[in-house]
Amino acid sequence: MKSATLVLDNLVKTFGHQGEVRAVNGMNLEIHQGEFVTLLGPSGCGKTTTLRLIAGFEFPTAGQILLNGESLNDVPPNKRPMAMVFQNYALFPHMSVFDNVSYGLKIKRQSTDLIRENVEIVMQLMNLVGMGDRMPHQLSGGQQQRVALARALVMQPQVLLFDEPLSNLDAKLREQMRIEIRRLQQRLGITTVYVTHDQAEAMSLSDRIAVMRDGQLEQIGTPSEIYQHPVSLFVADFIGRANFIESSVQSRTDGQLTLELFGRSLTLLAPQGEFFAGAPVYLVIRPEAVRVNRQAGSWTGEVKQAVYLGSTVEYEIETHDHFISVVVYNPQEGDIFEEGDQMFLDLPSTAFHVLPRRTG
Amino acid sequence: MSEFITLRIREYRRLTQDGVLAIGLLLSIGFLGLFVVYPLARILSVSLSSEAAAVYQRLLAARGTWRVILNTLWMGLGVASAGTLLGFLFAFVQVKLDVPFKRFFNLIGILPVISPPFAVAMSTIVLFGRSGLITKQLLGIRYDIYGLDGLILVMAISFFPVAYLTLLGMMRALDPSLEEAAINLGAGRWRVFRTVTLPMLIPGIASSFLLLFVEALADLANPLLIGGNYTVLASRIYLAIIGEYNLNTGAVLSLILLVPSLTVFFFQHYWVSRRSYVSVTGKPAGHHQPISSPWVKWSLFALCLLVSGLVVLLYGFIFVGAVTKVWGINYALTLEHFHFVLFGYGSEAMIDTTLLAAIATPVAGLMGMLIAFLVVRRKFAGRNLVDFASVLGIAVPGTVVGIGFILAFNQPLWGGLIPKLTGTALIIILAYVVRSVPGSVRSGVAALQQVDTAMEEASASLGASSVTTFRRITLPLIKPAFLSGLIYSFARSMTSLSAIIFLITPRWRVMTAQILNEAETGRYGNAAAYCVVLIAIVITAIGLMYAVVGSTTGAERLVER
Repeated sequence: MKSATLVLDNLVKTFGHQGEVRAVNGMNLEIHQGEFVTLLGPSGCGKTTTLRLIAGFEFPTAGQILLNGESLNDVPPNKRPMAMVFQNYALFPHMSVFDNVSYGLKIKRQSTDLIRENVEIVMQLMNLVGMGDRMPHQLSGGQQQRVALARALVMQPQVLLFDEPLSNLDAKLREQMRIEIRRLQQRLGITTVYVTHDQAEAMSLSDRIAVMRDGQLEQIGTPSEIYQHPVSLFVADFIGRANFIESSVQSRTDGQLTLELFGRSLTLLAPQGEFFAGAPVYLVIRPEAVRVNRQAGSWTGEVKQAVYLGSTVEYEIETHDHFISVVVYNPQEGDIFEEGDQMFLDLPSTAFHVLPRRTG
Repeated sequence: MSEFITLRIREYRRLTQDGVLAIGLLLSIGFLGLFVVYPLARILSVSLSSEAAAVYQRLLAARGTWRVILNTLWMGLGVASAGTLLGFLFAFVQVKLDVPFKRFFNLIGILPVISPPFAVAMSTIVLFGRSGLITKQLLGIRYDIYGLDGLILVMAISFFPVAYLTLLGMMRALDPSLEEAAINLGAGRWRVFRTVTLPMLIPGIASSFLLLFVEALADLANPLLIGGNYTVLASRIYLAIIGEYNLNTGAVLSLILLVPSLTVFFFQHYWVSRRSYVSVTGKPAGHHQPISSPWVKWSLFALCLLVSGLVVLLYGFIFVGAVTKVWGINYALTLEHFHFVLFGYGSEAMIDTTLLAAIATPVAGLMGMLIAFLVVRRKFAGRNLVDFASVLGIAVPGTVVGIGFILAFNQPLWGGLIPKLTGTALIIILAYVVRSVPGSVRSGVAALQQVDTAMEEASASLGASSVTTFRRITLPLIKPAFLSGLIYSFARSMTSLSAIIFLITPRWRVMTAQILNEAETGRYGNAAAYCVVLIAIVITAIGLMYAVVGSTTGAERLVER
């Protein structure tokens, strides 16, 4: 299956008579052959519009989309070698499963035998054997989703597009489908662009995640890069949860950064980014990196809120006029606190990430 | 600014990339431009020319003209009020009351749609006229039904289905929890109705009122038959053309009639109908608490029953007239009227009309669907203009359309590319199409708005061109709307009078004109027989269309969200 490279070059899309709504505001993105890239962001960030621009259902106000180096700007959607899986599946209600899946092949004028063969292969792939004669309304949500996927895959597209395909499924089914989609994509090696607002989905599926905000790319990187080295507050807060502690740089030497933390000094080794002495910063630490102890620790704190969730316990702890969110895994193996308890906190220096802070 | 132009050019280029779609666009724009806009433009140019100035002076100086204008406005107001009230009554009984015979009432509310333009008027004359069965023979009073009272009665009954259907949809879509909230806060039934229900229905009431006003102004059949000495603009135009052979006067009067008609129509179309936030899907949004107070319940029920009885009487009596020797006077049964219509001299009209309407119907249906698709699904500069032009065919009174056609096509156009059309069958077919397309477009637009665009996008992403998508995905899903568009077109064409009255010739006879003929010369029996046959043809056609366009597969149900 031929796979493609996709390049978004300064893509802009505005809506409204005077172009007041800048849905996509200068997107630059390079997607490599066979790569799974997710466009992740809150509602209104432009991820769906970007996907529709790639598919050809919207036309760019400026900029271009290049497939294998060639511009797609004048290519209508039905001529693009891409297949899309829609949020609500968009199965043709008046056609059987077989007719739905074979629809695109009929348009390509494949012979009846070849169509039958291709459809059978892909239906097997998607665990839909024997359902060819069923009508869409007779299928469950998960089955409908698989038919939608089959319909796209049978086209052997160069690019596969997903528009929040799992948002209509229940949690368990969502997880199952996630695994299936990833497995399929890796096996078939198709360049894939996936849109979602669910960061767990993005993290589990993607080779790289493109975090979007207000029509622009905020950060692009692998899941671990995004999680461990967010370039902005927005990314740090959007992926996973984060504690932001106000601080400032006390001194900086080669490979070391000393900052102020709750009245004491904290030294970080090899932090990323340019920070000068006196610069205001945020210290970012993830809730699961904070250690709690009843007996001893670096800082004292008081538990303001405790939520027991079975596999984890989540605390809101007040220390030095700050509220720190803490998540403890396997709580049965350690101390479990209740609201009002006094306890100790440890904030390992290796768990901190530094981000610039704007004052005023 | 140049960016704006570049974008527009790119839009058009994309549209034309789809070769056959581009042809469709050309076809529909060509059709609308030539057969809707051009005739109107001719009327405007004639009625605003220098020769017309003299006509204006003469007409506007005469007190008679002002009397006619006032008559028209009064009639419009009267019919609109009465019709809206009737429609409201029937809709209210359907939705809010728990009484028997609701299905019967629903049928009554829709029945007048398929009826010929003279049926009710004739029945009314025979029943309530000077020698009326009910007025003179039963009650012994001598009542002159001709005039404003007769007009309002007949037209209210003929047109109230429009109000009924509009208000029915609105009432059904009203959120019952709003009324429940008001009750919960202590409001009594009457206060709830006055402060919650009624205000939310005002867009629907206003809509109906305005629509009925326009229909009344445009109607020709009733003023001719039962208007008596009460002349209105439509009948005055008729006199100018048929009686005086004066196209100039006709054009000038048409302009005078156009002003209130178009103003009111477009006010309703663009302002009032947009202001209703309830979607008219006909699906109940929740459980409505029926009115429990017996006084209210049964008095409204009685009123409904009374009106229904009247309607049944009026329509039923037509059958009586068709099979009796002299309608209302000699009740000896006879088949001579039917013989006249079906086999005798009158059969020609029956065959001609059915043939012409049958040709016009699929054309109007497809054209309407095409325009609806372009307007709803495609963005292009001038889309609003196309939308506007597609509605003109019905916004403009029929008589005006007729005159426009005469002015536009009574000589060859473009060096003979379009020959002289007046006097041919083609011009009648074109008139039918022009009058039916708006209804087709409207039902197409409503249906398309229910179909998820994702379906069409999915088809495109699988490689289908616009035409293939339209043919294989969209059209099957809007089949019910297409079907109702066809039925509407056929019924509308068969019962059309005002648009074609100036276009018929001895070679091409139309049933409605024949009915007028027979009625005017007192041969009510033949007229009644014509009406019965016309109704029969329309009902048969409806049945045939259901059979051919196909049983609904249930797919459309799934499209509803």
